[in-house]
Amino acid sequence: MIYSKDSFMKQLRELLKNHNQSEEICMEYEHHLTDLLEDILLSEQCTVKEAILIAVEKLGTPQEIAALYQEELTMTAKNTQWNFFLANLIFFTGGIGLTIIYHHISNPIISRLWLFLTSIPFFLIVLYLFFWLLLGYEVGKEFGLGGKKLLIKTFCISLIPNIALMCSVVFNIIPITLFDPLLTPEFILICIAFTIILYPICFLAFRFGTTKSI
Amino acid sequence: MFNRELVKGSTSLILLQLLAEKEMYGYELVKEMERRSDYSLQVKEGTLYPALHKLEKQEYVESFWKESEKGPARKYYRITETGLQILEQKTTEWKNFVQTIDKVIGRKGL
Repeated sequence: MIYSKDSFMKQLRELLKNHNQSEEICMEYEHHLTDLLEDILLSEQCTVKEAILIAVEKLGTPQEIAALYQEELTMTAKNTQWNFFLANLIFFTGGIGLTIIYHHISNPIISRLWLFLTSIPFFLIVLYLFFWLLLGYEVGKEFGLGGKKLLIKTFCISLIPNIALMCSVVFNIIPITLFDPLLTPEFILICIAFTIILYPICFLAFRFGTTKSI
Repeated sequence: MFNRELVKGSTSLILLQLLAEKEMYGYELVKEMERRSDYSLQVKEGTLYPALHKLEKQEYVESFWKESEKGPARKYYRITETGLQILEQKTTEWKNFVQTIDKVIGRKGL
């Protein structure tokens, strides 16, 4: 039970201590609580203790308030940017790993999986586009119109594996035959073209995401 | 009193609208929201600040501390250019939604 403003604030400060703007947030709540208590004491015939109980009912408990800030702690700009980079890296390392295993280990399941995936390259491209749509949409939805800089940064960082693999293949650092029959010259051209249109696609998804931001 | 989820879904839009008219601090926003709705719109006041901070993160509002004549300095919020853009967009969407729902459920004579 909370019977004083000080105990409310002490609990709130303790619960929000990991938040980087903890002190500023607490000051706002403290001022709010002061105003609220003043109004309650003026309008209701009650003691300070009763006023505190009414104020907590209106404002929420420190635990309820702190829970509202928990989500904010996980959805930071940095987390978003690295989550998308890692997700894309996993796609790439997964694909490269599967290719290496296919060439070095004779396993019927791996062979079947490899042959199946290389038979549907265009479907994979379309599917992969959804990843970039999701990136734009999520940044737009969470960070609003102000998230444009973050979108550009996240896009550039997430694109590193694509550029690295593309350069490795184009400059023959990785032998093209390793990805046979997937990497035909036509397919490489299509991949380059798709990479060029990735940003406009991502940006459209971002704009759509911003409409869901509030 | 309205359904809590309905109010929660429109809190950001209301905050942006109020801030489009003048810069305000948290408690002032709550009071203004209550006054204008004849005390029908009552939000859990503690939810207001995370909503304001999210709008600030999205660069729809910005904040600044201002000395008050009586009492301590307060954190004021004001709407930004992008905030005005999204407000216009969402207000149009909201009006269309209300009109549509009204057409569907509205009955003459009621």
